[in-house]
Amino acid sequence: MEISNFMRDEHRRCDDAFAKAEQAVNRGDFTEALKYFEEFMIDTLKHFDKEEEILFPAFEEVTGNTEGPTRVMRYEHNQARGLFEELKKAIDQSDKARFFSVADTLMILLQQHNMKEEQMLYAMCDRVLAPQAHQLVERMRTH
Amino acid sequence: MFSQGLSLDQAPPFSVILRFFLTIPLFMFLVSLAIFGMDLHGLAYWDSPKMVAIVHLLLLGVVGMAMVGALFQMLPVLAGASMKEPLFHARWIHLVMFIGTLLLTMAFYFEKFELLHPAMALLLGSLSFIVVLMLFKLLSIDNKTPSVIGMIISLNGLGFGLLFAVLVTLTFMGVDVGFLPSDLRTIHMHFMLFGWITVLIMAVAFQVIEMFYVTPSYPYIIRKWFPLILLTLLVVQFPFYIISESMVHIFDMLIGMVLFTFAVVTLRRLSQRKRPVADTTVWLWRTGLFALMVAVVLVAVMTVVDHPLLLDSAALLFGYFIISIVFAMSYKIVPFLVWFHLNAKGVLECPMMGDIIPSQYTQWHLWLHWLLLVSLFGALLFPLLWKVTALIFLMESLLYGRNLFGATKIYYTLKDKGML
Ligand SMILES: [Fe+2]
Ligand SMILES: [Fe+2]
Repeated sequence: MEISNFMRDEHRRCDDAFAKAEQAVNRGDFTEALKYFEEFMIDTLKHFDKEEEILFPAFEEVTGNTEGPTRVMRYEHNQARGLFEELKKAIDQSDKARFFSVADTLMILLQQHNMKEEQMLYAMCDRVLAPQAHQLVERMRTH
Repeated sequence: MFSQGLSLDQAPPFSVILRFFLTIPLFMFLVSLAIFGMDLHGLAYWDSPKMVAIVHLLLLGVVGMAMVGALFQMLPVLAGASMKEPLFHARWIHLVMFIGTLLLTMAFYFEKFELLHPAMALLLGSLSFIVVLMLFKLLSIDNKTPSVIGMIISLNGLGFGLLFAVLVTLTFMGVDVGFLPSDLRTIHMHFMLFGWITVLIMAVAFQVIEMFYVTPSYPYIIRKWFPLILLTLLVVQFPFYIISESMVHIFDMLIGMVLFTFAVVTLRRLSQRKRPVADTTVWLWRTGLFALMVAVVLVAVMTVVDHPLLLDSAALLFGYFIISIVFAMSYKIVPFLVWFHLNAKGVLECPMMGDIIPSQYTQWHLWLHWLLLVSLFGALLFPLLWKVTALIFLMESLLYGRNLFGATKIYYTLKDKGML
């Protein structure tokens, strides 16, 4: 459970930062929005990196499968990265309608992504990576 | 197995779910025509052939299409179980359900009961195939999340509902199966409404409420046990229709409590959203859940005061609950899937959800939908208002159709412009 718990907490932290950005845009405070959005974006990108550079390779090595779930997850990370750019643009232009249109898309993409990870991929990782779980989490913590 | 399920190639083609969803506004349109063309007195009797026709047109054509479409989408995405040739199965199941629904409706509406046999054959064939095919896939999943369990249970509920549909038809033809015909009809209806539709709504809600609105998850006990409790209550209840009527009522109360709790918890989750904006879909969920709660309360009141208007109102509210949820879910799922599939094809300048179905149009739909509720209650008191209700539902079908077909048009215009 160590991997699941650590990664799930990271997901929740990113959600919180994004919610604050949305609340700021809703109030029309785009300076505040930018601050929280950047926090969210940096945290999420770091989280993606931890998965792509530490967790997924370990999973792929043990299962010998590089074409399966981790490929889909990497692909969705790239879809999300594209949307970050769009959101940043909407904040820079103080365009509230555009912001929420992109934000809706990004949130559903990320939430269904996180859910698949939490319910399936991380659960698998807990099982097949149990011997090195502690060490992996430490590496991700200090990444 | 997990590793086969989460692969991109096995995400179902968009047209699989689209064909089911796009049929919904068409059947809504037919429902409104059927209400419009009805003699006002017939509307007071649930067992009159025309009412039976309208109820089936709504529940098979509108709700059934949405539920089966949702299952096709959820199976690989949420449950991680892939299906071989989803497009082939979606095509024939959709076509057979479509024709079966029309025939069944015509059989009752125009009292051409010879149509009943082909209608039953088509509907039983397609729906029991879905039960067997999907159960087979779902039962082979290693990691059964609460949503997977919920889907399994709802398919069992559908199986029971179909079994009792056959028994109702048999009694209708004069065969004695031991139950009163009216009891069999009630059992059939309860399995379909609660065991199949409501359980599936629960299974979907456990995933999508958290996902679309960023809320805390449902309590684990509810996610794990509510679908099973609901179906178990129904299964244990039905023999009591022969033995003891008062026991039947006790079970009805317990079922009502499960539904009520589900509504309360979901409403609470919606108020705990981290996302600040309550868009149209949040209001559709709230409206539907509120209707569900009132329906349960009205049925509870019936144990004290017995007035026919109570049951009529509860039944209408329950139907209103289901279609509100169908709208709420499709207004998130359809635009998201348009974006997702276009993005996956590498379309540059891919439209976002808000461009695919403009929020102003869903807003109008919400207002119309609230107006529908007002006119439904008006019609219970002044039957002439059924004509107005039919008109409002017709407008709703046109607007809903515009929104879904608009999204589809965007998808088909852009889908070949991608770089991948
Ligand atoms: Fe990820
Ligand atoms: Fe993740």
